[in-house]
Amino acid sequence: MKKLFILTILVIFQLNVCAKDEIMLLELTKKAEIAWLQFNEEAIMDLYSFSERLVNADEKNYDAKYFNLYSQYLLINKAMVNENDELFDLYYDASLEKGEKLAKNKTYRSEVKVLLAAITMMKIANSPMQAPFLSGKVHAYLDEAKSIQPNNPRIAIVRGMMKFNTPGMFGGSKEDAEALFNKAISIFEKNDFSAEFDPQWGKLEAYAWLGRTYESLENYGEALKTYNKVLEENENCGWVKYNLLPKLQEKMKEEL
Amino acid sequence: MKRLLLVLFLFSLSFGQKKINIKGTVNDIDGNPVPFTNVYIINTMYGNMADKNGKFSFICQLSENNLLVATIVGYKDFSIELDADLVNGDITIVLEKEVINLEEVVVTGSSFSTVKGKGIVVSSREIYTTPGGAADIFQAIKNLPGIQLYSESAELYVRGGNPSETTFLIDQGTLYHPFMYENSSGALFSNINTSLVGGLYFSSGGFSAKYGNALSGVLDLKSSSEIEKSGTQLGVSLANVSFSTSFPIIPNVLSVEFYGRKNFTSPMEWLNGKFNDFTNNPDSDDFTALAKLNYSKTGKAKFFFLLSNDKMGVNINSGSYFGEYRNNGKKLFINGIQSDVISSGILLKNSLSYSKYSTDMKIGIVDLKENQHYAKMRSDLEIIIDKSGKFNAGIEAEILNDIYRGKIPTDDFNLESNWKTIDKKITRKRTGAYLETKFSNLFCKGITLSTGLRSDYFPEAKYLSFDPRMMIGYSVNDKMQIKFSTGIYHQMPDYRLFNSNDANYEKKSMQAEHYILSLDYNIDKANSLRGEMYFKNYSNLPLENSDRNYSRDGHGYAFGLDLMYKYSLAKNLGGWISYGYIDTKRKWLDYITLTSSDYDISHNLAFVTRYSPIDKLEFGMTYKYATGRPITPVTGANYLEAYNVYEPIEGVKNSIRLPDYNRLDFRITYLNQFFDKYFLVAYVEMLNVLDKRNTQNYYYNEDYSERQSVKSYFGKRIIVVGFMISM
Repeated sequence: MKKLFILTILVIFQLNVCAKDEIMLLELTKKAEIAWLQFNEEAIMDLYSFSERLVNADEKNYDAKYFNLYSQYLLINKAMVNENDELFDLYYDASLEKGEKLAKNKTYRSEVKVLLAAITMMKIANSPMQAPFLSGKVHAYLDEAKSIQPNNPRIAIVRGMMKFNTPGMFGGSKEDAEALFNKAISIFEKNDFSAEFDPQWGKLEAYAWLGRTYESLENYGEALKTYNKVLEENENCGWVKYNLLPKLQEKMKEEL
Repeated sequence: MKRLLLVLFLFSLSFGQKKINIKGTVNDIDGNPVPFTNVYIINTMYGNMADKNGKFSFICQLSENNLLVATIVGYKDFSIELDADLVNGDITIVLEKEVINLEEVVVTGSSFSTVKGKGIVVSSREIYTTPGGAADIFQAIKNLPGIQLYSESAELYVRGGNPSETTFLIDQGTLYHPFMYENSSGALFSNINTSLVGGLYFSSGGFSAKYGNALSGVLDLKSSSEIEKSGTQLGVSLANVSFSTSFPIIPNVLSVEFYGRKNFTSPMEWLNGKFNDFTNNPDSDDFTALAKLNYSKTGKAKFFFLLSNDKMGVNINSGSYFGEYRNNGKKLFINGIQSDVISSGILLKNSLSYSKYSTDMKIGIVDLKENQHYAKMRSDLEIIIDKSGKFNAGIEAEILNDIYRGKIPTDDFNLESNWKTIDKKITRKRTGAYLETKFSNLFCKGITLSTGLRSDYFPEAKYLSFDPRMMIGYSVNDKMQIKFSTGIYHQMPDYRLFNSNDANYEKKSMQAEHYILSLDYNIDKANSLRGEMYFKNYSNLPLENSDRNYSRDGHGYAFGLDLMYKYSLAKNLGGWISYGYIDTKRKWLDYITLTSSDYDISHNLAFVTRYSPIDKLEFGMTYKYATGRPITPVTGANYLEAYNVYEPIEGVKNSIRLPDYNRLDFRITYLNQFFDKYFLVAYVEMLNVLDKRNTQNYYYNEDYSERQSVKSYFGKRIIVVGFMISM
């Protein structure tokens, strides 16, 4: 009887711990989604701070470490948009160091390599002269991620972004980008990817980037449909709602 | 009993401690709120992010060690032990800015830079792909306004000054001989590999007190700082073969870059026909190594090493000499620089450099060897006073030893007989110090003021100079800025003039005063306009004097207007147009009256454009026009029977001009990436497409009765092809 009581207490305790971890992961993914949707400093810093406090409380909270890295990727994006080179470099250097450490954990390696590829890609966007030295690194990160998780949709997204942003003379191709974003969407829609750790992000990005790709290929009808699809999925997507879609509509009006 | 203990234990975990509210504000040292700072108790989940006003609050349970920390990128971490007083009141956290990369205070008079905020931005790629520039930094800079097209050499003639009036720095170290194939007509290219350059600042006047011993301009290069740079490049063209590789040895800590190049002319001659009457085709090789060390979060060190060797031989024709000119030059340059943030907002940089230059020149009876040794140390300190103010200070000391040995002509017009031996060692020292400040939004929003004072001591002349300098700028709006720069600049004349036997120049340094009014207008991110008017007053120039060989009564001026329009008309079409007008006169050296100086090249125009009609292909074009430079005509000759040579009789100094200079260069570049890893850049460059026979000087027959043009280096159409692979 005594043993049974102690066992029950332990099971409850363990269940409580597991539930707590699940709740934390849900909270992290929710905050990550908000950070991407709103793309303002407050929302991104909220994810950054929250994940940092989780790591502070538990050095082995790898979920939090991953989302802390993801928040840094968004902060790098933000610093580039704001043309703040000093902050860009600070986040870039710190994120590479954190990423390489986290990549030693097998469970997270593939997803971390995808993030490292995306972060390195941002460096190329900010300093195009670095392209000859860094683009190989981006592809090496993605190749390694693919060797672990061949069907990870985020690999296709980052590769697509790379193809979209690279000038044609350096191997970029909007058509290749379109194929890659469609591949990522297909994986998301068919729920074709499962892993021990799945950070969830990427579906709306893939649609938004596909819309941009259609737009740059002057396929405005498909671009409009794709942007509307993003807003159907989540009407709070500020990038599409306040930036991409109005600009496209203006362009379409001019065409008429 | 055990059950009771377990229940008590679990109970104690939840309810054993009192819940309290921690609240407060996060500010910087100026009292401004620092939003979104992460405030938490170490090793716990208790904490919260500060809001946009820097305010934070959270509920927690205190245990034994309650260390409160505040962290945000860009500031130093803050921590404090929570005690009863802190817990019961509002906590004020003051964060100190963490300064990682500080930019120097630079008085941006007439400046161009690869860095935003230091003048018109000229990117590395623009330098690398400027048609006709052969990817040479000096040749590309020559297309900027304020530089006179005196010859096709890579040397910089800045606003009426000769090349020695522009100082050249790499990582704070001075390099006096950055060129290959140095000869009397200048030097075609530099030894500096563009891919090793991480930043560039060029000023054609009004530069800050940081720079000394330069009357006209500054070219300040910084070697690459990218510690993670990794890759290999192979370049092959009709003019050279190069190989470079870079890799980290310890990731994020130590990395190295190596670059080797062999230049030659034979393949170009094979394709384009003979260029000149070479007896020994010009060839050179250089090797550069760069090591970068991040020894702490803020501490960095770089070591730059350059070794080069070049030689050439050419038949020359002059009134007194018909024969061969041979030259062999060698140089070594070593520079080490260390920088660290020694305290919040204080950056210290120290550098030490050594260079050795030796040349062996033979022409007629002249057989002269020069060995130059130069060493320099420099320290710069930058203090950020607050977000709108900076203070800069520095010291430098240099020593130069020049040894000349060999035979030189007794009369400079006679290179075939009558020589004397020379065995001289000349030593020159200089110590300098400067202070400067820069304040933004002074008195009212939009006003920037930089002031500086520089002092240099020249022991050989026993002369101490004081150079006040200042710049005031006003941002009319976010697109337009008006600036006025002024200052005094000193430079020692050619140190050979201090020779008491044949020079005996008075103990004083040459002086120039700069007055520059400039207007910058940024039409948008990619299009900008700049207009500048300048006046430069020269004094204390060396002037031939019958009593003491040289007096310091020489003087002169340069007045001009520089315009530049940097444009990007579409995503695939861009470039710049620069125009400079100058009127410059001097009375110095052997000039009798104030007259046009050698560098009085009234109109200089450069039009650089690039167009990519399709992906992977870029067309580039550079057109240059310049008024012919003034020269002194030879009006007759006296026959000197004793030597059997003619001595030329010169006409009025600089009273005629060479024909105007015109040159059009084309470049077609093909760029491609394959296997996602390899970059190919292949190019065809057509120099002097119009086959214009530009004249760079005249030479005369033996009795000076006839003259003929000395054609420029690129005096005919030349095609160069090449490629570069990066991996």
